Amino acid sequence: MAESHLHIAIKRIRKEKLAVAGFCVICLFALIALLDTVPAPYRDAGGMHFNRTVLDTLFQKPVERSYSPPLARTATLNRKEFTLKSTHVLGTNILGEDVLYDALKGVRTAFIIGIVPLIIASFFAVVFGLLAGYYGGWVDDVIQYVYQVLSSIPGILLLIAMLTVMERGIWQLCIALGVTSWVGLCRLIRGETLKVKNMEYVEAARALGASDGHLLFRQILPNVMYLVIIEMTLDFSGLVMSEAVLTYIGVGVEPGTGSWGRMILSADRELPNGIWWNLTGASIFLFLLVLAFNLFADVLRDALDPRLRKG
Amino acid sequence: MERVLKIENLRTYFHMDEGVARAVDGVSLSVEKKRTLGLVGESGCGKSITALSILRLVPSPPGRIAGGSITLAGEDILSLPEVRMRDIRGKLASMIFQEPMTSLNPVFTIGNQVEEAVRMHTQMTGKGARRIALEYLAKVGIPAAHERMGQYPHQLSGGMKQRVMIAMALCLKPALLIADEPTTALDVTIQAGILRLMKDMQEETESAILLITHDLGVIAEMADDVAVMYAGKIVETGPCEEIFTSFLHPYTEGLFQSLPGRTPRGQKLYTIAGNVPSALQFQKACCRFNPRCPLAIERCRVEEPPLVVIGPAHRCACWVRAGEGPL
Repeated sequence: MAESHLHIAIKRIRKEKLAVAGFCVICLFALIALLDTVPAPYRDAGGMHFNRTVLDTLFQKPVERSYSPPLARTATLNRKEFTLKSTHVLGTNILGEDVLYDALKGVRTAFIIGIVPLIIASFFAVVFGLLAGYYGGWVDDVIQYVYQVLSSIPGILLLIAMLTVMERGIWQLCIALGVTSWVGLCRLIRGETLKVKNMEYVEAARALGASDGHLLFRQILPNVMYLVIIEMTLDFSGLVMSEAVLTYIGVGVEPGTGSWGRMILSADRELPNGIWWNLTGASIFLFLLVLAFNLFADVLRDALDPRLRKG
Repeated sequence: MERVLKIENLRTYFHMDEGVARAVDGVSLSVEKKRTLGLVGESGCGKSITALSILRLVPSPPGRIAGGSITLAGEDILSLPEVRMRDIRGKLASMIFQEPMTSLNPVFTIGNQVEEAVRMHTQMTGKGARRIALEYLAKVGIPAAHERMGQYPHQLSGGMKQRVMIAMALCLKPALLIADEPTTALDVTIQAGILRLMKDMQEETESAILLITHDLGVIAEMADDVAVMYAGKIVETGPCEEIFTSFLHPYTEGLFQSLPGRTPRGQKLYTIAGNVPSALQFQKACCRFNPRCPLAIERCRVEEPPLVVIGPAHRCACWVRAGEGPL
């Protein structure tokens, strides 16, 4: 009977065990990201400090003098064995830093890189796509021209150029990724708008006296919104992984920000020494988040798509 | 009698790459309060374009209203600015479309959509709009309207959807309701119900109805007056009964003969030879029906017949049957 979209969507998702599992994993990751955002004030000889988060106080471990495998008690440095200051569940990396802590610090970065650029890109794509598809004519020409020029510049070059101009930082990276990645979605929305604007319900709304704004945002937008959701779910994983690539070419997040990309990249120095746990730890975190997201997104997409909905 | 709609010499042209399509070429008609005018004709004769012209919804470009005048409840439609036109659509004149299956937005509940129609033209708050929506959904015969309001279009049958469309079109009591083949996409059993509903609602809202159809059965049931359209022109018009009993134009005659009931069982059904010409090929200075007309004489090919007065309200354009003036 009278049930809202959300109700029906939730009901559907709950039937899928894998999606529920995925959702739980996402929630866990989100909680970690949140803990890494909430500051935990502490006092020492120098006064009050606010630059530590709750996550730091919970998981930060002293830096060891050398690397050690997971759960090791001792490590060797210059062929001399010494006792570690604490137990490291995932071991320590080549610099003696705790791998678990590094991996947990990467969660917040991954979420920001996965979500913020999508919001920026969706905004551009929706506005330009709707306008181009609905008005056609010169509006369409101008918008098409802009995105064709944009898409003819190799994305990675544009990214590097933008990041060179702006200061290095996670938010700048988000803006650069957002501005360079709306073209594909914009094309899709433009095409779908072209189709939807000729549907009878749009014509019927116009015959009832609807204005252009109403038609665009109340009639057409809700019917192309599923594209945004699909695009978001498809791109999230890609964006999380692109952070690793950008870090590799030296335009990723600034040092000091948690980054799975940097952990994976340090493997080129670590693997020859038999240090596999740093690479593995980061990869498992990345894999878990992406997998959980894909499992959940797949079902979410079906649940939200009005055209797949049945009585 | 109060005249709600008066169209005079309306011409709506489409400027295509191939040339100018004169889809509506000099149509005049009028509808009075609480009366129903049936506009009949084959597909492609310009019925729907006439309807869209009244609401100024002809896609432009390529369409353009090239001339004539439309007066709706005292307003000169063709000279109004677009903003004013938006007030008129839905409030003074609204429209029901042929395809109820696709005429409702799939992502909103029907209650939501009827409310939206109310809110578009009134200052009403959510609650007031909701009350009117509920009232009209009940009036158009949606059972358990209160629960149905929360349902999505895909949960309703075609007939139910058309009822919702009627509720949306009539909730502000427009002076004119344009119904463009409202029952064509529905089952025959449901058609009768929808037609009766339109008649009942007309009693209530006192609207005039412009009913567009190619189904003479629907006309017989609904219309007070009939206008027969062919190739962008009105060829015969008059009170419903008179047209049904003493039609004159060979095209009207052809339409009646094509009704399946007129042909004895076992014989081939009658058809008018040929098709409506494409609007690009409408010729000037001749009777546009002449290539298909069994009675065509030389004059039909060189001169256009005027719409001449036959009876009190009966007019016909045919050189052979109506001639130059009253007989």
